[in-house]
Amino acid sequence: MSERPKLVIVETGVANLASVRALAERLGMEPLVSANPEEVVRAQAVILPGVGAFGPAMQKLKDYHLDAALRARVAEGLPTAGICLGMQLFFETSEESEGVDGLGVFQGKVRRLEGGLPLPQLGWNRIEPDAGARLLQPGWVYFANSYGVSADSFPELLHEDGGAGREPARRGAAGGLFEHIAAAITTYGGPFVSAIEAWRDDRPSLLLCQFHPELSGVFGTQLFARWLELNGARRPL
Amino acid sequence: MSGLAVRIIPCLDFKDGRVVKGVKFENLVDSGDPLERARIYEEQGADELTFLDISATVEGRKTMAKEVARIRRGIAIPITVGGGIATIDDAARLLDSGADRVSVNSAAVRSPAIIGDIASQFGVQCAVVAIDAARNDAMPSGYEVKIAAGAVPTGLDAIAWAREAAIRGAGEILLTSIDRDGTSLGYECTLLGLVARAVGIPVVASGGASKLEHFLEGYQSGASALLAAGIFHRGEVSISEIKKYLSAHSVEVRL
Repeated sequence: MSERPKLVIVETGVANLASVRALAERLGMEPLVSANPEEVVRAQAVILPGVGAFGPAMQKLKDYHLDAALRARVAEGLPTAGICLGMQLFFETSEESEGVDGLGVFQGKVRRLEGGLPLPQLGWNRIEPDAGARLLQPGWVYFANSYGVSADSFPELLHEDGGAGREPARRGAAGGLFEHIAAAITTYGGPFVSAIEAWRDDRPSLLLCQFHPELSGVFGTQLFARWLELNGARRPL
Repeated sequence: MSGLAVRIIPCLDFKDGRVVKGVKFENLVDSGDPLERARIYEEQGADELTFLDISATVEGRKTMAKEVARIRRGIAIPITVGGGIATIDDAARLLDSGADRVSVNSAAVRSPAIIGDIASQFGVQCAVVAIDAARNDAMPSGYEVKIAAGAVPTGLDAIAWAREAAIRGAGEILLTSIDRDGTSLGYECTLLGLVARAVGIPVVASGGASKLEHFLEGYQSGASALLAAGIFHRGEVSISEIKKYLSAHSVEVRL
């Protein structure tokens, strides 16, 4: 009975997954790195980590039928998270790899960060969740990115009241899949979407982070602990 | 407009798995267990840790990889590892062990293609190029790149080399002033400013910081991150003190 719940880390290529593994260990989960779509569908929780570029990562997902596995998890409301590039892959397209279709769960395009600041954005920045966020909290998190989801994919984030009560304008397939979607914004040169929580059956089944929760100290660990607990994939400590 | 905080980075020099800190790369003194130190720095608010392996032996390097793996499990902030990385396999081994980024120094000067190889295989954010520079009036910028722990002059202009490293795919420059390293005189701000203006990637200031105002000067010269070693190991200045000081001077820090 001592078997720990499994957290599958999706293998998308040459990856440095030690930090994500360490996060899983801290959460009391057993990390399993896998490119097997059946294991991905079956896992208690899945993390799609951020490695490499949009085009090659998407190709790898398709080659191993992991795209279908991830879409199936999202459609069934199974706890699934994307980190960094792993968040971007849930969108339709990216300037990083023109002509490549992403998973397309969310409508919108990933763009190169603008504003003339050094790229990649390396270091700690603040996330500001919108008024509808129930999982995401404001705080400092660690980023390492040159691309991000354009804030105009979530226009309500740009309103001063955080878009409270406003019906989201563009959601793509996600509009029909989730009962509630909230996002967080971060400013680097300009605003970009730094996290998304999407709820189904009263659970935040999909969590997307442009930042690295595994490298964001106690804040990142606690965010993922709450995410797993709200999904029933991990008992509170 | 940037909400990004300037990073404070303690640097731990490793020799055969132990933390040491030299003065001008000589007279090394052992000062503690690496994981213990890493945890203390994380609690104090370190934004990242940099490890430099100065072991000269294969055994020493193996010990380093094991230490990185142990520290990775124990802390939840980014780790950059450098020192003696000569091949893409060396980089891969350290990344597998738990480094988030690797820094290349002498090897990048000897065969610059390694920068692009690391960037394309592991991402630009993984590829840190460490540059040790010393004052040399014969150089166009007044600064020359030295390698092999500062022992060998290369004839390369420091600013030209930084620019080339960025073009080849470096995601960050770790810039150490050999003249200032271990002197407590503060960062070499002229050099810092020149490099920060020459490249469009973050620059980490290193070498010479000992007082609170040195960190502010480094930031004002264009550094995205401020690295120090001995003053942290000896407990002369704490990371939280530096952050409070910077914050009081309207610099964005993670408090």
